[in-house]
Amino acid sequence: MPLLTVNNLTTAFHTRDGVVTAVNNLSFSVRAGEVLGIVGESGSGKSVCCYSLLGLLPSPPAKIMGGTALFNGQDLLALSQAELRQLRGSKIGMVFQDPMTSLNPSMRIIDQVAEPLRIHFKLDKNTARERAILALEEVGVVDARQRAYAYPHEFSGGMRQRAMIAMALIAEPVLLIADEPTTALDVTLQAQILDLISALQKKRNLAVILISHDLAVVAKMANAIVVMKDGELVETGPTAEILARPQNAYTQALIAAMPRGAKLSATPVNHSAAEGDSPLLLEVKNIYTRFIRYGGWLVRRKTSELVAVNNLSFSVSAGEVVGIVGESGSGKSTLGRSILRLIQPDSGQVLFAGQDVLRMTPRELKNLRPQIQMIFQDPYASLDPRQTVFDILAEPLLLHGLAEGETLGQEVQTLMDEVGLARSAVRKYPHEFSGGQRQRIAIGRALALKPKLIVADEPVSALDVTIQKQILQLLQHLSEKYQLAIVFISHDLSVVRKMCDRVIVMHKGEKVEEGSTEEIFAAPKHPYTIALLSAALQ
Amino acid sequence: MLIFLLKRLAQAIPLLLLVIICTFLLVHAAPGGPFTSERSVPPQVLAALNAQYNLDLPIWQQIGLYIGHLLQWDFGPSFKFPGRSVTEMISTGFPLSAELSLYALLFAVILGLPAGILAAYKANTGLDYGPMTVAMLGICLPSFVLGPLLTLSFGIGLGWLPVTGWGESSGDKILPAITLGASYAAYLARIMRGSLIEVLGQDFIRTARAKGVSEFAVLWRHALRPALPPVISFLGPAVAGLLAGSFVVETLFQIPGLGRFFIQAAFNRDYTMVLGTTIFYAALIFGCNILADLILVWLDPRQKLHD
Amino acid sequence: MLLKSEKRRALLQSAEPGSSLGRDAFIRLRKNKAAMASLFFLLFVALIACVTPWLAPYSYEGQNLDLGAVGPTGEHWLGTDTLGRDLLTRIMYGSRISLSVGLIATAVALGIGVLWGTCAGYFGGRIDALMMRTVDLLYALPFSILIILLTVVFGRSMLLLFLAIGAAEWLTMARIVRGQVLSIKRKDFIEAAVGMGLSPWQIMVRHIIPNVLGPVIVYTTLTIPSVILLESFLSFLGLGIQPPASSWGSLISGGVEVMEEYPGLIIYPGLMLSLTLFALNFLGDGLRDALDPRSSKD
Repeated sequence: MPLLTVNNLTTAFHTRDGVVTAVNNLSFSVRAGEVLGIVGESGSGKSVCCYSLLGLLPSPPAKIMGGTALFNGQDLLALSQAELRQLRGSKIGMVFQDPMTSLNPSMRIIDQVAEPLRIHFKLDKNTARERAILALEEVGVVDARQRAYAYPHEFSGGMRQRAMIAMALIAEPVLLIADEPTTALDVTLQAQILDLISALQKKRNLAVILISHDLAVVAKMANAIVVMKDGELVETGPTAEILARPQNAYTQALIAAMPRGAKLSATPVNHSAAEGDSPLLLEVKNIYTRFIRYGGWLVRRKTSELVAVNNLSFSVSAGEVVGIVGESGSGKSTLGRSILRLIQPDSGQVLFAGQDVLRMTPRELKNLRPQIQMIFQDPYASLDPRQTVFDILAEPLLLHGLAEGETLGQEVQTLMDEVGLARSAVRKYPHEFSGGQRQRIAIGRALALKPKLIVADEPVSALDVTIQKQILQLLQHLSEKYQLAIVFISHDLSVVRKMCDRVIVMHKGEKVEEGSTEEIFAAPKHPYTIALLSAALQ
Repeated sequence: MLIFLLKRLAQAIPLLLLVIICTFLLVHAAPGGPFTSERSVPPQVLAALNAQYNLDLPIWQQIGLYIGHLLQWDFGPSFKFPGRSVTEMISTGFPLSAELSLYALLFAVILGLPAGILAAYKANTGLDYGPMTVAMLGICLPSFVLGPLLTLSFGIGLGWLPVTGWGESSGDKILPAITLGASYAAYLARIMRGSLIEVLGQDFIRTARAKGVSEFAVLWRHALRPALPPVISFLGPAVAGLLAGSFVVETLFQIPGLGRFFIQAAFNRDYTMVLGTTIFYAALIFGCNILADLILVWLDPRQKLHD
Repeated sequence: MLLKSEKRRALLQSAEPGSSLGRDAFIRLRKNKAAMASLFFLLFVALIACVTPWLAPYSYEGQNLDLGAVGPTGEHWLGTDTLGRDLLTRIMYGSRISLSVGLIATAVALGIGVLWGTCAGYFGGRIDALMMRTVDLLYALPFSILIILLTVVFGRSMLLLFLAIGAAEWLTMARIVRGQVLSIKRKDFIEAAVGMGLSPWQIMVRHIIPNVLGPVIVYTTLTIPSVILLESFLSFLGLGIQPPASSWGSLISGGVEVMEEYPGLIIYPGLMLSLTLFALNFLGDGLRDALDPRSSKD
């Protein structure tokens, strides 16, 4: 007898533009001691379905249109808010994605962790706090007795998520719903938090619903998987079965996008330029960049200093794709921006075709600009919302006098064809496009000046897996067609592995390892690289 | 907290000095003012002025002397009324104005905050639109329109409440306080609503609900405190507005407060009175701003990091 | 802009037109009945104010002491004041003054505020810190009191009123503009423009200013009522507009003295002032809702 059985759940939102069905006819079940993974891209309805069960969706606009959800014999969807409140936090615990925003910033950690006990068991403040300290110790908060009185902003990201888990489990629920519990965390922390959830799950024989966009995370944890797309169930079954024999094309695409440890042959690498006979295009020497924060009133005073890039050197040959890998805060974006001199490093050289970019006059710099271009992570932010596609693509051409009048229209059309945009969309504004299409516009803009080098800073991280694949293929195709060198910055190892000839691993502003993609993935040498790979590829 | 207070004082004191010097120089430069050579003032006043400011000294020394007197709570003699001092007028007028402002503020907080909380909690329903439309009316009815309207209806028309004086007959404080407080109640309701709606949309409110916290406790324990900073930030400078508003209300209801003295002084070109009162008001407002900042730091633990 | 003429020549006829953010906002605004009613009311008041010298039935200072104050009649639709002057005429002339003070002082505030805020936000660093500290300091000053001090020292003149009110209101504008510029400056499309080779000036004109325009328009709409209110406040106290000229504030002030006998003398100008403030605030709120990026389709 399953602990929770959901049948034909349908949830809709009433918006300005009419009724949008977020979850359509969804059915699944979880047993005690079992982990169910729900996988899907953003907007697939995976979070909405769980919030529907607990009555956590704001209504209006949300409305549960139909279905049943039997939990211990009670239909959750038929319960009143007051009855649901009895279950929330006591029988069903929840962990959310971003522990920074999900914890109350103006309340001490200990009181937030203790709150379920105070509500559901009516414990007095001191007893509840005592239990909260034990709970925090159980999830691995060091010095819990002292640190428990801190506010959330005084905890690190990993510690916050541990506190969140302690809070969800303190009233000993039988079901834990974890909504993207590791998405906001760095790779190495992700593994720790997943291990913690796994350990607690086994210890308490918990039923867990794990929601994630990351199939790798779910595959590691779950006994069974539900794959969702556009609010509907695409495929479901035991984890091993789904991974080995996916029936649906969408599931197959998700699995294909997953990083794998052993097989290397599956990854198409662009070897054309990796031989080393191409001329050297870019040489970065001893880049050192630090950020100093100033505070004080009228008088400047140094309040903190951060070395973002520490004495780093590397080079790129013509047509070569070099990956720079690291976690957030490793300084990889700062390095990328230094190449275009969007940030002025404190010392070092960026030699492009033998000339030092960092010491050019404004005029020389402007003449160089067409040769190096950049693609940014967030296509929502990297396009001016008040320009049409035509304006965006024509601006660089006009600025550098590459086209005008009659030829301008043709050039823009060619660019749009090149990056796979419909010609009829030329007068549309960025907000009228999807994320993937916007990134195509951004690529088109970078391509307009026929550069020799493109710095791509996490170009697919903001996109869904299936769209990622298309954009990566586009970049690969362009790189081969135009002998275009790419500095490819990413935190995502599977993406880097697909794209790059050579990989540089960065950690805390330093280069810890460099080598060909095969070498790095097959035989990493530096302990950090090993940790990074094992965290991502388990 | 103490360091923060000292820091804020260290900022406010030079600024206050600057205000004193600038206003003093302005009044000094005024044609026909107390410091010009062609003085057509009564000899008694002239003598008092001379004793206070030593008009023959260079201007910097005069300012120095003036500040020295200020530190001893001495604002000097009135320029228009022989024998009366500015200090005396401030001491008699200010308690009344302070009382009026306090009642107005109480009225605003007691009416405005609950209205804002209700509107936010019942956002986009009748209980939201109703109070918010009234609040918009409150903002658009300035005290010098609202005051006469209240006087006409409740005072003269219905005869329920007295329409002049302060503390002379029972209930004569009600209309002035409402007149002065109404627009602040309206602003407070709007700010409270906006801030609370934003907080209620944040992730940690969802976390609280997921813990089984009741709706009332979500509002009271989790949402209210993070929603208060904008309200407090508004209240500090609002004191300046209350003082300005008291000019109108004291004139309308014939209350012998400092605001009325100030306006009369402005009419009579009583330079020393205007100068003294301006400085007094400025100091008062700086004090209120610092108080508001202190409350803000106490409300939001993250603030401590930034300062 | 530079692209416009090129664009016209090169643009393809077959392409379907896109919907700009401004157009989307306008469509949303049109659906907001309260805001549209406010807009039409304001346009009507402004139109009347413009043509008042030709339209007004009487002269605004023409006294008729024999008549004295009377209630509404066929000849005087809103009645007359104690000096026998036609109230409707005086309200119409009053709106000329109140509205022009509102517009001119707002323009002063807008000019200083946008320039100051853009510079602070764009240059950043030390310049920004220094400029914004100045704004913070000025914020702490009691402006309504300082303006009264100024009228005492320099006498009561219209010019002083414009400048003083404008100078008091530019601070918030500067803060808003700076905040906007800072947030836009951090957006990737500005870095993309730098990477493309645009000069700081080109970036400012082509990318930053068009994007801060929305919030500036909203705040301008909300500044006008507070300026009108400040002017009425000073005129009510007798420190603003001087007789025989009249603004809504001074009309109300005149009405207060005789409100027991002739309540119309305070009700009509008060109604006019409040309705205008109401409309401006509703329009401002409507514009803000329409331009709010959170409500735009994603």
